[in-house]
Amino acid sequence: MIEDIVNAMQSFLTNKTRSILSLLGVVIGVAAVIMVTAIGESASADVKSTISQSGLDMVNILGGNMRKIRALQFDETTRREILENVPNVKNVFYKNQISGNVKRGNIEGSASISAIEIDFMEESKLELDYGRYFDETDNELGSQCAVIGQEIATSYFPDGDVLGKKLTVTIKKARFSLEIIGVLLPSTSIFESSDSTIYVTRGFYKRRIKPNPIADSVVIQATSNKTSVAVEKAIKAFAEKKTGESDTLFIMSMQTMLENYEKTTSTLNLLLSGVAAISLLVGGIGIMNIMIVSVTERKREIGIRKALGASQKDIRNQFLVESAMLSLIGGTIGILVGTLLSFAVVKVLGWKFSLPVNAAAVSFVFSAFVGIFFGLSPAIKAAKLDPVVALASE
Amino acid sequence: MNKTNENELVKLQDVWKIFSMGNTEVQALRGINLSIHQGEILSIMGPSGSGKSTCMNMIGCLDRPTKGNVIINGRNTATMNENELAAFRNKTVGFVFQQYFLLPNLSVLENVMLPLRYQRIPIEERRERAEEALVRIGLADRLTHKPNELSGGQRQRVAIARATVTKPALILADEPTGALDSETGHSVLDLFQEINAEGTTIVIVTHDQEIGRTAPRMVRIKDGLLSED
Ligand SMILES: Nc1ncnc2c1ncn2[C@@H]1O[C@H](COP(=O)(O)OP(=O)(O)OP(=O)(O)O)[C@@H](O)[C@H]1O
Ligand SMILES: [Mg+2]
Repeated sequence: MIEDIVNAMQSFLTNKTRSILSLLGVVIGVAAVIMVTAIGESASADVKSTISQSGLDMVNILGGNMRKIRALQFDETTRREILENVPNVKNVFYKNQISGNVKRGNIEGSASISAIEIDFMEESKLELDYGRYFDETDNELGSQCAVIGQEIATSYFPDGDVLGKKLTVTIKKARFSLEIIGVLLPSTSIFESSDSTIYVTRGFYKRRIKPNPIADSVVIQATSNKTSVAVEKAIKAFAEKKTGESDTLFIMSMQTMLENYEKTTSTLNLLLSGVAAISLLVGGIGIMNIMIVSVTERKREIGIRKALGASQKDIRNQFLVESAMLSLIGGTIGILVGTLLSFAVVKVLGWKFSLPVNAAAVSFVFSAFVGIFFGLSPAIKAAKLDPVVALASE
Repeated sequence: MNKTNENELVKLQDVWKIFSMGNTEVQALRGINLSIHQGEILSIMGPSGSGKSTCMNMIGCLDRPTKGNVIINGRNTATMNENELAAFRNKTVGFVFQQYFLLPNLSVLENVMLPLRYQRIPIEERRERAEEALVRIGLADRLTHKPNELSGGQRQRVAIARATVTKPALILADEPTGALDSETGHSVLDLFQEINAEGTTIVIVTHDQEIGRTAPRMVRIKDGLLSED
């Protein structure tokens, strides 16, 4: 067997250019498979970690349709109803979002102002870079203080000194001077674009802007990751019962989102596997083509081997080993090329690279299979040649 | 059935070989009867195109007759399958072809080792035996050369080494001295005599009268017909 492989290699070396060209199809096919899986896996690992970081226990009620959300009246009464009627709810966080003008010195712009409840930041994993979160007192008194995102911090405080400094914010013609008490780390959540947001307490919002506000978006925290899907369903039912309409809310738990994502990626993977299979098929046809040429060109050699006593099986195996080796070499090069390219792509996109071990193993085995499968018919043709006819050919 | 003699190695019975190409037909052999006995040296003589090489292919079971029977060791080859014929060519016959038919990509040593490979002999033993055969024929210093680096006579000797390396019962040599000067030609004939003394049957195809006459037994082929002196 080792000898067969060595001989196959020798025969490639006598025809270097042609052998390399014939591998090209398999190289490209396998490289495509590796790239697709490696990049796909890294991307999905990235998305998953983002979703997980947003807190898998969170159920978001998005303000898709304002009229419908208003119909639900997310006020203190509704909050009590939710807490009493919907099982597995740990917290109900109300939010109000407004936009305002921001000014500091000669830097001016607009930003989204988010009025939140004090535990919301910690629970939805909005991490502090420095400073502190809101506390009870800030909320009770409606203090003029704010926690800001990274982008706000860098645009309005280019010198870096932020804590204790003030931002002038104009909301609905009322002007406030907000003291910065904390700065958040860059956002990792998909629902909170915290980087460009100025957070104030809902206490501040109630006292200074709108008494008895109705929340325009709600985040409900389930008692655990596992109960979040149940909470999502229960909230939907709750909303339907209350408004008498179905599909009142666009609600999604992070858990459902993760599951949906996994579903789409598995469909996508199936599609990509199809593409990979087709490219390997094309590669296999390339190999078959080259083996047919090889058999035709080497008729004399086949005749000599038969005269020396090679059986049909000997000849067939010789050519099968050659085509399998060709395909395996192509597969190996494809794995290397695919790994290098996907590594480069993943690094450029700033994701974490994970070696596509499974895809590499499958491609390796599959390319051997492709070589044997597509080499079979030329090899059998070689084995069946009549020795005298084969010897007589040039 | 066929009347066979115990020391008959190969027997051709009314063997015809007709090559047809499109609508033309060439009758290369027209009813040949020939017995080759164990341990003899036989020369087959005849002019060019008379059917000598075709006849040799029949004896060595490289080709099947269009008509008639080839009997080896008492068995009709018509009843044998491809594997059995391959095994016969491998173990019993050593071909020395008119055009040498060496594999151009293999070294001299590898060419000579090749028939042993199809006997599934381990590589070390193959190398040993091939070296031995090449030393015997005076090519010890050309083992790693490729055939195209050798002279015609040297190639012929490699072909002989390859035919003898399996120690076959029958050597079929087609014009084995064709490319050689008369001195080397005679040394090849001496070698055949030596091998024959060890019991190997030898068939030499030639159109050279002088060489033909050195063989104890000689047959002539003309226009596909065989006659024995
Ligand atoms: N494969 C073939 N197809 C068609 N005709 C063939 C084939 N092989 C041999 N012949 C014909 O059969 C006849 C005998 O050929 P063969 O090779 O046996 O002659 P030969 O006696 O060996 O001649 P030489 O001394 O030139 O080698 C020739 O007329 C040749 O043209
Ligand atoms: Mg001839």
